[in-house]
Amino acid sequence: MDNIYIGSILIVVLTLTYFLTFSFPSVGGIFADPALYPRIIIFILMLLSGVTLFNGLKEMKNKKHTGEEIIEKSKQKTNLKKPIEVLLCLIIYFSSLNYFNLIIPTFIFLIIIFMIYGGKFWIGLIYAIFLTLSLYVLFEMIFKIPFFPKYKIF
Amino acid sequence: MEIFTKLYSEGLPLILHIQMILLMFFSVFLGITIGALPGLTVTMGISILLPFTYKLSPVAGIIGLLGVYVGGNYGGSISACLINIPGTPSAIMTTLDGYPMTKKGFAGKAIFLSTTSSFLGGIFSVIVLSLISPVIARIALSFTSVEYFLIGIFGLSAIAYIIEGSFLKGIISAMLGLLIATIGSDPMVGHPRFTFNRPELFTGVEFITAMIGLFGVAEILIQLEKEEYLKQVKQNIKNIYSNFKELKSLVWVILRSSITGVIIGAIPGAGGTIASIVSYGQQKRFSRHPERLGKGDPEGIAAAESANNACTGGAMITMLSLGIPGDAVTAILIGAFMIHGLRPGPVLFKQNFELVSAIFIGMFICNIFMCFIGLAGAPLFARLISLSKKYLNPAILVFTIIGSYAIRNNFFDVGTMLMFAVIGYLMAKVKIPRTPLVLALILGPIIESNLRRSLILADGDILLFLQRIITRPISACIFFLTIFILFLPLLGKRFNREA
Repeated sequence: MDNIYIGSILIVVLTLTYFLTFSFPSVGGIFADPALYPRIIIFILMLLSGVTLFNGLKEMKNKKHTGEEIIEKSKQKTNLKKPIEVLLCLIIYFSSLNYFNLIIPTFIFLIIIFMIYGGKFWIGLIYAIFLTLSLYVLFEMIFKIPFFPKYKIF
Repeated sequence: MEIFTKLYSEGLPLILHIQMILLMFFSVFLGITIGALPGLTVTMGISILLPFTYKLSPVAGIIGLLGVYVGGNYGGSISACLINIPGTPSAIMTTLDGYPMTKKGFAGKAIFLSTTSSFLGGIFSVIVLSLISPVIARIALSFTSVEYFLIGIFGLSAIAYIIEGSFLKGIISAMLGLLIATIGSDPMVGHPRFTFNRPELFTGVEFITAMIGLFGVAEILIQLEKEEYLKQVKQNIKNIYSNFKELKSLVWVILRSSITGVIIGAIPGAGGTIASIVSYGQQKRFSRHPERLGKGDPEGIAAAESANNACTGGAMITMLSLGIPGDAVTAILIGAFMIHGLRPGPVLFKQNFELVSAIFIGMFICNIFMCFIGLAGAPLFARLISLSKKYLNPAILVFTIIGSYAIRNNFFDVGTMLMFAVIGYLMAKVKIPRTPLVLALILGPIIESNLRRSLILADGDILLFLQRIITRPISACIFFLTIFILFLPLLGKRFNREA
């Protein structure tokens, strides 16, 4: 099934990318054309995606009769909840850094991630205080990385 | 001869002062810790630490990362020997004999053998690196755009074949990397491509942030799917230093495996895992007692460990002399050069000779530190192995975000990093290898600019361009080697069928 997803998603994305190359201007001869090289790569990728899709369809046809797909799926059952939670936290954390400086978002982010990993709140609290202060010293005081708005702890 | 003397003297003033010695010691220690902790890989560690080298001098930044590389490659063997889990993929073969030896009550001996073999393999590779890379760099000075184009293609064809999993998916990953590498200004006419009018993309995708996303965050997301099982080291690590006699009998094993390691390391995309597998297989053929391998045989540990550490120098040969990364780690190290406005390759030997010399000396010293820290710190690393990920991973995630921001003080780069994290995670889910994509990101601009330059020089005549490839001796060699590598899987299938 993976091959079917890979093949079809790539074909859609590559088709859109191919149309984007028409916005590049034609300059000089064919080899000076900025669109030529990306188009060659897109063409090769299209062929490879087609082969992947074909392989996927062939596999699916063969597996249908034996029920292998269902057995394989039940084996591959994985926990997607945690990766999605962490990814969302990362997006919120990175967006909030732009508005609230390093300290507050980092402190909250560390506690939440610690708890997603199954840690207890009060241990997470001590862990977050210690780590946030260390990060503040390292990044703001030693490396002098500019975060805005400016707050000063030390 | 003079050049070799210079290679070991010019960089000395840059290396031999207290800050650099301390930096090397600390980075090797950090590398061993990263390598020893199952789940943290050297690639991940170096990609996360890379942005922070921006504040250091070029020598300090690059040697600091090399220390992590050398230490990390060895560190994986500690957990392989003590808890039967390879800390890094390249330590997989060490588990076969390291853990049975530990189970027999000889944990100290297993650590001693893995440490000294890694040290000797590493030192051997640094000597070979310093002898060979200046010669290759000198030859490479005569390279034209045709040779550079072919070297780029050769690098990609080799990685796609060597990488684990499907060949087709390896090629797809490499081609995707080439396509992503076209983002930014066109190398010939300067017109922006796929930039969506974002000025941040005019210089292309920030390579380091892409690496952090693909190897740092994506790796954590993948690990989150699995339950964490903590393993405690139950054996006492004692009598580490009473095994020197045993080492004498392993000299030939170590030498043979080190040579294998250096050669495999120099092949783009191969890396330590393949080196240790090949070397272990070789040992099985050469050993007088092959039946003992896999049951706690010292020869097995020595073969696997010396080979995977010899890879470090091997991978650096092509990286330093040609600017072609040997593996994912050396690809990130190219990023470290780029941060400081340098580009590895033959010109580096001409313009920054002291830096090249300092790298050789630094790698040599890092290997000595690795041996010292590995032997003296074994009991400490045995405790660190049991550290839960809930203490490590939240800190690593913060480092990835701030690290991506710190490169250009730009939040756009953090967004790029997160985008690549999602791409890396999805690629891992559908079993598309990530290393070819990363190497293609590095090789893409080299391939495109040299291909187009060659075609323009041939007045757009493709036949003339092909004629130039075949009539020039070096380009013809690379061309046929690439063809051979590309058709190797088909040949292998045919031979198997006939057998």
